Amino acid sequence: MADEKWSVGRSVNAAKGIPGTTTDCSAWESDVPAEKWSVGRSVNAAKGIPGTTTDCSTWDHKPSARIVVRTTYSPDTPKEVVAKHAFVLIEKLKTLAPDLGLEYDDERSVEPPDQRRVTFAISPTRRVPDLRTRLVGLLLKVCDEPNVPISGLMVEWDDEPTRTAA
Amino acid sequence: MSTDPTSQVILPRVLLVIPVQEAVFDLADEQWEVKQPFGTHRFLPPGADFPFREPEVWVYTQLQGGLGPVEVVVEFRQRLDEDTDRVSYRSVGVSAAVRIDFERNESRLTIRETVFGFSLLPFREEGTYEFRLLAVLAGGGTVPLSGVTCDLSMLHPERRV
Repeated sequence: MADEKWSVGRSVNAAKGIPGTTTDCSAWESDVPAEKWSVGRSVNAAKGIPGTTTDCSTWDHKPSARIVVRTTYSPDTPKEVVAKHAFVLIEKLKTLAPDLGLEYDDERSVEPPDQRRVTFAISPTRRVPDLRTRLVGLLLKVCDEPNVPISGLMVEWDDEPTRTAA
Repeated sequence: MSTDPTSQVILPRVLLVIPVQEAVFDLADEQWEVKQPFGTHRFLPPGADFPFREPEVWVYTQLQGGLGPVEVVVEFRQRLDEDTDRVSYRSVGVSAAVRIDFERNESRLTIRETVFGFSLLPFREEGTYEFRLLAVLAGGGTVPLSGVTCDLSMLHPERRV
């Protein structure tokens, strides 16, 4: 998703603060004499370790490029098989490029009623440099996937009419 | 299995996960000071809409029961409600790692506290998100740590019922 579509700001606590009370507990457990009680501030049991900060500005971006896979099935192929093939490809791509955060792209996938020619898109959810080059490289690595009846495989992007296919 | 006792690693358990607005590490006493816990529900600030980015979030955590060194990260993920009994998640991102060493000569009851900072944390849409701690394995994979996680619901103030 493009940067200008995000609102940026400090969210607001949904809980409304209510003034609390204080209770004098000095009379509680009075069966133990007062002089037997130790009084003091307890100490944090946890030992602190310096933390890290993470810049999340590249998270949850929907980059303008994606991998589009076309598959051809016989009309009686069960839906589960088609879904499984999408899953197989996504898992393979995820393993090859974990930094891209690849996910099935519901909006850009097409499932025709006859199930014969299915087009599904796999989109990165992270913004990385040289995205198109990375996707083309991935394309070449999955185009011989033996379990999936691939009939078309391409990298598609929004801002140019040209496409790269393998 | 290795026979070298010094190579044995036991993953810690997560005791606390609390997102907060501010966190400061006191170098003198090695303690964290945190301010303004987020609670479980948050509203967008006036005029904002989804998708929304929170400029700064700190996630305060406490871990216990580990043995040996462990690299820990926080995964931020969105809970997807699909009108079924099954809850699924979409991973949004993973923090930078903090290395925590549970020394072999100390009590297993020892607690470690640390904080993970996030800048421009994204909330793509209204809903519930989760912070959970993962251990980074030697091979580069991750495994969720047992113990608590933290849900945070980000809501639009004008859509509340």
